[in-house]
Amino acid sequence: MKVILEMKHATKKFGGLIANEDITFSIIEGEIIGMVGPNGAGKTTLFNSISGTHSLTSGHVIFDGTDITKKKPYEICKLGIGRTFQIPQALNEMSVFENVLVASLNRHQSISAAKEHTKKVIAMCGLASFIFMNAGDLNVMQKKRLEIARALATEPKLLLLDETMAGLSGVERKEAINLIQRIRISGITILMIEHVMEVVMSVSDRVVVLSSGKLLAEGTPEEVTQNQQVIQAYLGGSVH
Amino acid sequence: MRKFININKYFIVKFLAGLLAAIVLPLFIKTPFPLHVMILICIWAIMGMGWNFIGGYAGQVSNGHALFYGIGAYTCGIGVKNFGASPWVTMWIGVMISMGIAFVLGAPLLRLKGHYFALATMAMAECGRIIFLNWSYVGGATGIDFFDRSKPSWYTMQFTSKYPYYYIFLFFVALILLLTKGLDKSKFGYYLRAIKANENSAQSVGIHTAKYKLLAFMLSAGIVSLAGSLYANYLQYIDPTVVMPLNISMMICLVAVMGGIGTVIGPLVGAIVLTIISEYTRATFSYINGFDLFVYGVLVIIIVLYMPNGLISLFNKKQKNKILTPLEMERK
Repeated sequence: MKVILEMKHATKKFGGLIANEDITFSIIEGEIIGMVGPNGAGKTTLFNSISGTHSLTSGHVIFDGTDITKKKPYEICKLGIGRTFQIPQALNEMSVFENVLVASLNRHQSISAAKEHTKKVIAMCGLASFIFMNAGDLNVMQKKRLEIARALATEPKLLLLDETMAGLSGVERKEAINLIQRIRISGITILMIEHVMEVVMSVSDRVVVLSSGKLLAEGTPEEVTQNQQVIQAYLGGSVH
Repeated sequence: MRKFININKYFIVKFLAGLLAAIVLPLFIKTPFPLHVMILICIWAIMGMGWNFIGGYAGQVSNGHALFYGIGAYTCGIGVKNFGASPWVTMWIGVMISMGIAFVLGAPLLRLKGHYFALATMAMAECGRIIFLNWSYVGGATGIDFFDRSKPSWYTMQFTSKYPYYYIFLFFVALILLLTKGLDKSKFGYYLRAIKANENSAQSVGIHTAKYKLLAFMLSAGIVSLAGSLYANYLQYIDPTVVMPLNISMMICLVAVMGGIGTVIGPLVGAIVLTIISEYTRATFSYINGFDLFVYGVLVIIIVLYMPNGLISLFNKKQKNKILTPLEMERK
C-alpha cells in the first residue's frame, strides 16, 4: 500500500474567492478514485493545483515522495502525472498522430522510438482510424479520446481525467469505461472527475466528494451514496 | 543518422536538382542586374528561414529581427575596419553576439504573448537602431565604409565580380535549408509546433515551453545575423538606416509568411517571388516615382488574399487531396 499522491491541507484562493479549502486526502498506488461534486465545487481547480497550472495558496501536494506544490506543469509531467483537460486542448493544426507523438517524446529521445510508442498508445485508445486527421476536425468523443491518449503517451504513474465522459452516448461511455479499466490494468493510478454517476459507481474504488470547495466525504461508492451530507449537497436539504 | 534526422531520398533528389539549377543558372547571365537580384534572393531566403524558426515553427511573431541583422552586419564591418579581421571569422562572432543578445532579451520578451510580443520586439529593434545611430565607435549616423583592397579578396570577402558573392551566399542558403529540413521532423521541430498550437497543452505533455521558445529565438537570431554579415560584405558600406530599419524587420516577416510559415522551403519560395517582384517593378517603373511600390503592394495583397497559407500551398495542393495508405504515410 504505497501512497502515490497526498493532498495536505490544500487551499486555493482567487482573490476573495476560496476555490479549495483545507483539502486533505491521499491516493494509493493502483487505485481508481472518482471525484464528484456539484458544479463550482472546485474539482478542476484542485486538478490544476496538482498538475501545476497554478500553485496552491497554502498546503502541499506530495507526489511519490516529492513535494510538487511549486513545480511547473512540464516538471510535474516529467515526474509522472498526466492530465486531460475538461475542454479538450488538442494541437488543432497537427494530425492525431503528431499530437500523440509530441506527448510520447516526453520519455523517448529519438523520433523513431517515440513513433513506436505512439502507435501502441493510439491502438490502445482506439484512435487508429483517425491518425491522419487534423485534431481540430475530430468530434467531441474523438477529442476526449485524444486527450486521454496524449496524457497516456507521456507514460504517467498517475493519470488525472477531467470529465472525459461528459457528452458521450451510452455505447461510447461503455467503450470509455473499458479503456479506463485497461489503463488501470497497465498499472496506472487514476484520479477522475466525473458527473456521470453510473461511471463513478462502476469503476472507482473510492470516491471523494467536494462541495463549495471543501472535502465533504470520502469512501467507497456505497458509503458515499448513503452519506446524508452528500445527498443534501446534491439534492438540497429541507428548508428550515 | 536517418533515425534522428528524417531526410528522405525524395527530398535529397529535389534538393540536389535545385542546387544544381542554382549553380548553373548564373553561367547564362551576362548582365549584372539579374545576378544582383539572385544575390538578394539568397540574403532574403536566409533571413526568412531564420525568422521561420521563431515566427513560423514556434508561432511567436517577431517584428524585431532587423536588430540581429544589424548586429551581424556591424560585427563584420567593425572587424574589417578596426581589426583587419576576416569576415569568415567575424561573421561567427556576430552569430554568437546575436545569440547572446537574443538570450538576454528573449528571456523576458518571450513571456509576452501574441501582439504584445510583436510590439515589444519591434521596440527592441528600434532601440537597437537608435543606439547604433548615436554610438560614435560604430560610426554613428555616418556608418562604416570598410572597403579594403590591401588584403587578398578571399580574406576580406570583397570581390570585384558578383559571382563569388552569389556562390558564397548560395552555399549558406543550402546549409540553412538542410538545417531546417533536419529540424523539421525532429523533437525540436515537433515541440515548436506544439508550442505554436497550444502552449498550455504543450506544457501538460512535458514541454519546457520557455526553454524551447528561447532556443528557437536564439537560433533564428543567429541565422539572421549571418545574413546581415554576408550582406554587409556585399555592400561594403553600412549605416543604421541601411541595415536596421523597421522595414527590414517587416520584410523578413513578409518573406516567410508569403512563402508559407512553418514549412521548410516556404521562406525560400517567398524570397524568390518577393525579391523578383520588388526588384523588377523598381527597374520597370523607374520613370514614375513610387509606382513600383504601388504595384508591389497590389501584388502582395493578391497573393495574401488568394493564398492565405503562403505560396507553398501551390505545391502542396495535390498532395493534400491525395489519400495515403497507412504504409505510405509511415514512410513520410
